[in-house]
Amino acid sequence: MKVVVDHISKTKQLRIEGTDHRESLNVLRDVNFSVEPGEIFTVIGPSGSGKSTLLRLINRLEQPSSGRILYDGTDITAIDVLMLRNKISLVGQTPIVLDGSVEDNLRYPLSLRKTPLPASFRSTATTHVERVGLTAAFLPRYSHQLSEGEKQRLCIARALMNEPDVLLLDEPTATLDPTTANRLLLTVKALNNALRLTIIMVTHQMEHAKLVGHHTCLLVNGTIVEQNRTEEFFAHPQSAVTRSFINGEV
Amino acid sequence: MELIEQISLVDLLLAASFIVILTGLSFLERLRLEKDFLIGAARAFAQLYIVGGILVYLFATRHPGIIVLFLIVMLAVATHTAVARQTKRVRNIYPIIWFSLIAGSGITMFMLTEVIMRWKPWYRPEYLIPIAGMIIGNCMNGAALAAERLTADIRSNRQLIEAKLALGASSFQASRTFIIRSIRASLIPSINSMMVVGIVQLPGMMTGLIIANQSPVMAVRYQLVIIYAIAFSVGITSMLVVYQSYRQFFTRAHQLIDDL
Ligand SMILES: Nc1ncnc2c1ncn2[C@@H]1O[C@H](COP(=O)(O)OP(=O)(O)OP(=O)(O)O)[C@@H](O)[C@H]1O
Ligand SMILES: [Mg+2]
Repeated sequence: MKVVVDHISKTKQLRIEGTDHRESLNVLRDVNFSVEPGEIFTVIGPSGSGKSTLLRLINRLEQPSSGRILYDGTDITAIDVLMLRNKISLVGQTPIVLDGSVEDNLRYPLSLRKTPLPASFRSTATTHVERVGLTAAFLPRYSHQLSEGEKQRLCIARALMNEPDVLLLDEPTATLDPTTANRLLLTVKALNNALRLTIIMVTHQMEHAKLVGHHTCLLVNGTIVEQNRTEEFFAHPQSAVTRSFINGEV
Repeated sequence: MELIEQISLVDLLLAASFIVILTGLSFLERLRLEKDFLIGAARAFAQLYIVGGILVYLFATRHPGIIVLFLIVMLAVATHTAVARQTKRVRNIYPIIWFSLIAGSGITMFMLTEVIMRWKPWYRPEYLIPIAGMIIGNCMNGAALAAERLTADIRSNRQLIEAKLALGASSFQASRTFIIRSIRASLIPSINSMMVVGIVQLPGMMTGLIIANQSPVMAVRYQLVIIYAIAFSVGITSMLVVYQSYRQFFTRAHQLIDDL
């Protein structure tokens, strides 16, 4: 389904410890873009530019200060929020595994529903762990004993249990070594191919955006500096800021 | 029934020498607790004498309205104390604890006066006031403990809670573990006291009845009624506190509030 981010701004209140004083911070300013069904849209930008905030808005973990977000043409505030989060699934920047085994983690999203666990649970779970490059042998393992990269994969598999249309990935490669990162990127591509999953992926590593993105945008200080088809974006950057970001100068 | 052995003012002064000797020891041993001993002893003296005076008045008037008013004052002080103990305060903590204390101790007191003890009249102050005091005091501790624990747990588990929300959990589902933990935490003192009651120390009420020449059997029955009632009222109060408090951390759209 198509996702449209329509003139989104977000102001946050910074609290200064020990005082009642609040400072306003414009985290996002008039952000506009649309993501076509089945594409991988990558958001790059320096630390603190508002990338995570943007994803959290799309998943409605936060509320924009102004503007709206459309999912399949409907303002997301008009959709039941718990349903929306099943359809648009966010995998956060730090992998958070729940207590228990890998299988317990995969069961969690389904356990939230009123319906009993489907009989197909085990086979679905196996399919998804294999999709993210783990094996069925991981299912009984204790989730806190996984490596960071394995946890990251588990979190993606767990999000897939909800059968989302849109997957929001916040720096899925940030904590990984180059080889594991590349494998994960291939996973992302494969998910997009196999499941026709629309993916919005945030990263601060340009090569990763370049490798998987169909469209890419650059977010600096809460503003989109440039967006284009990924190839074009990197081959012919229009703005001076983009050129310097690509050269590692922002 | 025999009268209780009297304590004269001279006896009381002699008892005060415990504190005087202790203060002297504190000075010699450089504990630097002299001031605290004296202030503590003086406060205990003043507070108990004032309460004693009020009780004399309440027992004399036997007016249900005045007795209920006194209970309301007790509840208000308990609410304030429970709130004051919170290091980080939940929004609406005052009405939440106020309501929960009234409901938790009210239901329990109703069952005691109407079903279990059936005092005639129900507001007999010699029974109602001390028993309500014990129940409200324990509910106050339970409420304070539950609210404190819930706030601390939710504040330090933001990421976990948001990860659950992102997977489609409702605010209730996402805070479930912490809801359970804080209710348990508030009930553990009641459970512990049931486990050890009578083994080391005789509980206060039982001691009082025995000193007042009641048969130990009756003293035991009174004490049992009270500890069961306390456990029940603490459970109800802390559940009410927690089920209302957790909501204060979330918006209607199941978003964890930023500014906790
Ligand atoms: N809860 C908050 N309250 C106030 N300001 C916040 C809050 N969370 C984030 N910010 C600020 O908003 C800005 C954007 O944060 P965000 O997490 O979206 O950045 P990011 O682009 O994801 O950075 P990174 O690459 O380091 O993850 C930062 O300047 C941050 O300090
Ligand atoms: Mg981020």
